[in-house]
Amino acid sequence: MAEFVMLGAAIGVSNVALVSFLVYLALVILLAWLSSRAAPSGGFVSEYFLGSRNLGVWAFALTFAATSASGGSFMGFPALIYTHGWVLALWIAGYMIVPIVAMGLLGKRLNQISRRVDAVTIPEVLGQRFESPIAGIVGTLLIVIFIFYYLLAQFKAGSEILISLLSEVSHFQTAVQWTASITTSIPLLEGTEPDYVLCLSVFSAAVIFYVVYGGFRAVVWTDVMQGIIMFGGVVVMLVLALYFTGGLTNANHKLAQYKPPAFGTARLTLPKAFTEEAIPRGTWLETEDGQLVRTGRRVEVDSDEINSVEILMLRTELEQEAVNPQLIRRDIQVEILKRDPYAYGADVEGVYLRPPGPDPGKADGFLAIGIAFSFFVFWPFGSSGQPSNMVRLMAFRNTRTLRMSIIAVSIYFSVIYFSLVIIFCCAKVLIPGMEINPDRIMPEMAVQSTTMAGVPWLAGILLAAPFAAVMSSVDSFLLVVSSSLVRDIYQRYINPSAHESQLKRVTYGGTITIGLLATLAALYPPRYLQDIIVIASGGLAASFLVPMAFSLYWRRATAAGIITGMIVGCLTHFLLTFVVSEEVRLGLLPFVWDVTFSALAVIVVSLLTKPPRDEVIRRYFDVD
Amino acid sequence: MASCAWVIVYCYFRAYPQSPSDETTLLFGFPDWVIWGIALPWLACNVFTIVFCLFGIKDDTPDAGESDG
Repeated sequence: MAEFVMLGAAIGVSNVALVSFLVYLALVILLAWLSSRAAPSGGFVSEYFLGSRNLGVWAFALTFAATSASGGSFMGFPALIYTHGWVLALWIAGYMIVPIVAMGLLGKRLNQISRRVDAVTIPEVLGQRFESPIAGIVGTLLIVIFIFYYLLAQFKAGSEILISLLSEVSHFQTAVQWTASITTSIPLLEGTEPDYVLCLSVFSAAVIFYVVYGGFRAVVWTDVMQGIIMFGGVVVMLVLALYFTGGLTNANHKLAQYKPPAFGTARLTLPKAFTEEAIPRGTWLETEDGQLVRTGRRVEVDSDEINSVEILMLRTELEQEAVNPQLIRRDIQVEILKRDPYAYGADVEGVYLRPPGPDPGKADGFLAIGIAFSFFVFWPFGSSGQPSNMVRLMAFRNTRTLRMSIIAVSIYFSVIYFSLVIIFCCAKVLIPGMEINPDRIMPEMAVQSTTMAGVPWLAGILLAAPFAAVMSSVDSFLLVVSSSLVRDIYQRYINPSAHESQLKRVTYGGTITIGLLATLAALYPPRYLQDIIVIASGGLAASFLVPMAFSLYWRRATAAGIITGMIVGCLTHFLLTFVVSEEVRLGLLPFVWDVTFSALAVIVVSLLTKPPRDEVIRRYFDVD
Repeated sequence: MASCAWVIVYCYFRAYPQSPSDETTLLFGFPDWVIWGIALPWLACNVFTIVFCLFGIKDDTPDAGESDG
């Protein structure tokens, strides 16, 4: 382990990693081209948006798994594990039933009904099932609004990962300078960071290209590759993490002695010969009594004495020993002015090993039991309610494909999520002080572990895993939005008799336009992206899960009931997320209440309105 | 529901500290509550999923109108 930390945080990704990453991107483009050649001729809309409903076991299983795992799984989740410890095993436990619930609950029935009415989008299924254009329009609007925000957040996440990967590469720095020379002359790009603009452009161009070029089939083929990369990346990181910590038992014995760090402020006194313009974020410093602290932000040097510098303080000697002594700046004097210990677990040994987990802000810890229960419900049912997952359920070949895919996804999720918890609990032991920017723990761990193992090129592949996760979610959501606009708006209301060449033009144009709009919006993204992802995905599930389940399984459901259910689910989600306090929600996540109120709305309004025609019931529920 | 009850009830009583002096013991390198409260029910769910998929879901042609098995 001593060898491991000798490298410290200063290591960048080598050019070899850049090459392996470019190979990955080239493979994505190649797969898109191959998939378009493999597509059968005729039936453009069904082929472009659903791959002719012919997905086999591996294609269906891996596209479902890859789409479910977004950037949050490989960036946000590791950051949470690093910050709060083993309690994240409980936080993610709902994934044990995600495959059987998300794929089994709606899968077979939705596949049958969508084939029967030749529907390629979720709003189309709802509109046809209830003979109600309004149900389709409400569904389309909800999809476009929520998914656009989700896309925006994922575009930003993809760009950030690219920056992490390439920031130390000399060719990239040259390209950033070139980008800066362009962006300064464009008013629209004023105030943007050139490295972010460059990475956003590359990410957007790659995703938009292969989605437009190959449609659903390309998305599925690339998802398969990305799913394999994610799996392989996690397994390799698990082996490296266990090797460098000396095994899981050793790692947990050390973790049991760790105490959460404290945040605070300090006064820095610089030597007279100090010539640097700034002290970088993450610089290690030592107080007179031997306490190690780390700068929380980049510190601009404008005098010999700098006050109120944000710092992070380690609390145990064991953690201090894990810091590479060569990385500690001893020429700068530090005087601690203020200490802000964690609100829960500040001086408790073993707090990383058990619930509720340490937390800097919550006095009752990271995961109260009510929230743990809520997440156990949210993961499987929230996943069931995602339109991007529902679309995949419309595309598998037959029931055997569904059965085998559920088994494959169960094993896939078990390995991925359990391994991630182990890897980043080990990372806590190996790389102390990352609380200053926990979102960077995944790239940091990938770079340090592969470099120490003597295989730096592997970092490119490991970092491709979160990038693949983001890409495989973005492509799917992009296609869901464009299919809704083309099929549910253009083909239904603007030009019902459109011939194939017109549909192709509108589809390609629509997908490019949505992709570009999301790219432009991502130039100035909102601050709290993770919140947007949670709100958007929760909103989609709150709006669609219950109405779709009732549409497929309840004969008495009516159009009015379904429309009300979608609107009530959506409004409840916003109300409980932004207005109502956690105490009023009885300590539960908004989603639990969203689906409850949505279900009540569907049932009550359906029973109060005129039942559907017998002919419609027979068509959807009785065997021909 | 069974998996939810198992995980939440077990973890509430055996994983959350009932007193400040509670210590976590390790089993196979894992905190013991992770084995009994998460890994074991996860394994049970996977076994149930496999059995249900192999024997509980009826095969049919793609566009047949039968309900779920």
